[in-house]
Amino acid sequence: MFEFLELQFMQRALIAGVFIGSTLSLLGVFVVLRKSAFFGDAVAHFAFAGIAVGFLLAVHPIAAAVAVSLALALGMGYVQNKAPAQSLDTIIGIFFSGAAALGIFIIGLLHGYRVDLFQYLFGDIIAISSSDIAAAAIITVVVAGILAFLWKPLFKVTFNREIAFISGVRVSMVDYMFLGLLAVVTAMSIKVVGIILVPALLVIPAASAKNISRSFRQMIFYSLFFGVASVVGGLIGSFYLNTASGATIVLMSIVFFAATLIAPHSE
Amino acid sequence: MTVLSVKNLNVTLHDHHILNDITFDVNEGEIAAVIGPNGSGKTTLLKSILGLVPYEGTVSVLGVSPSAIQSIGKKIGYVPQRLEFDRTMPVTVEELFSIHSFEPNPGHIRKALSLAHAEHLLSKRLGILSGGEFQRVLLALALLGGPRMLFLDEPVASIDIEGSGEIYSLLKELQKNEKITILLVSHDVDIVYTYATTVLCVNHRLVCSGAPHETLTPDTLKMLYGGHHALYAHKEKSREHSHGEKHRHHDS
Repeated sequence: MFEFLELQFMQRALIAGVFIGSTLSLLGVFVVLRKSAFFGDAVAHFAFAGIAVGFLLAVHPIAAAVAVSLALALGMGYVQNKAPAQSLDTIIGIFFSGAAALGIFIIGLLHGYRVDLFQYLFGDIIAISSSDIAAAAIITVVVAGILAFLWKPLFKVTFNREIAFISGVRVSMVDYMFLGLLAVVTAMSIKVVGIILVPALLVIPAASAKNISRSFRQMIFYSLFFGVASVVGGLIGSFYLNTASGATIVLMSIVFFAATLIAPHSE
Repeated sequence: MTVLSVKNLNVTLHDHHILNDITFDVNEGEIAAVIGPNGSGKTTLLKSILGLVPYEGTVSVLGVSPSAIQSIGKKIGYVPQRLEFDRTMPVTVEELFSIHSFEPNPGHIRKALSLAHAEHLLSKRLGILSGGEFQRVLLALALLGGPRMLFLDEPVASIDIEGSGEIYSLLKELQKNEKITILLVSHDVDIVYTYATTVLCVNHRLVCSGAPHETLTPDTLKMLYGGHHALYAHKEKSREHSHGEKHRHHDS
């Protein structure tokens, strides 16, 4: 019944998946509450541009994805502050399209070299190595550590920016730190769920949690649960159905979302 | 003792002069009300004092400039106008206060809620509160640090007449019992007449200032709002209050 556990690549995928699933779903709570789901899509495309840069410069694609995502995310935050006449979704749209275009443009420059983008677009659990697990563990611990200090200011800014500012929160710094965290985590998650599907794992578990939560504490707990359960359930499903792991994980998370929509919940 | 001093304040946003050469002081223990027509710069005045919009001139709040307002955040309470809040956000009043709390002791959360007559709302989810209840919670949140000054922007904009009377009575209590100085923006001259100790009439510049019964004359209201304006007795309120000086400002 549990023959998948005997396979090393599945063991590695499950361990890395639990780390990535919990980290994405934890950050996803703030993504959903800040109504910035579109931002998750943009950051995933920053990572796509970063991977292309990695191939162009012959550096590790994920390392390049982290660096480029971070630079573009912080750049987007800067432009948002400098162009108050533009709405946030307009600025995200510009960066989103720009990053996708940059990635495609760079890949076009790689004459005679066809990059296997499929694994980065949709995730490749077979390719997860021990060092990937270590990286996922480190990023989970780092994100949890930063959120331990950042969650209160982040919540205050989410609730009301002006009240947060007057109470002593450095609002812009909190915004930049959140953008930076999202960029790094998204880029680091690519190997498990892929560029196309990372934003879904960032948004759907938290959105499912919001459907049934009566308090912020509950939303954190349920989001973590749905995030980890989606990854574990999706990986096992993909093993038995011989389907793409990233797509199966996301479909599993949508099943949870649908269940929370029809689940009875009181005020 | 002066707790708020504004001298030659000018605010220009997107090449548009919002406020011109505003000068006034507010003394400790006062309820100062900023009144004026829509778009006259009332909210901008409040925001510039709180360091939320750039300005030129000299402003001192409890001895510090708006650029250093965060250093005295605990002594300042702020209730913004029509707080944009996602009512589907699953957050309880208790969680909101724990997160905004300046100290771990839960006693001061209960005290702040009690001052705003909102202690019974502690376990409620924010999304299910009525407009009046939500406003009380915001007021209690502003009281959390034990502030010396409260800034309120149209604190009753989204609640009915009865509810707004309760909020203003509450502010009067806070001024009297807790010695909190209050600066509020209001469009309701009747309320200002009843509860404020000082009125500041703003229409891009300071048109008039002083005690309400001396300042709010037909002439000054005409200067402030333009056209023909007068004060009429507000019958419902006149029955509620014995001193019969309640008036509502009417545009005509």
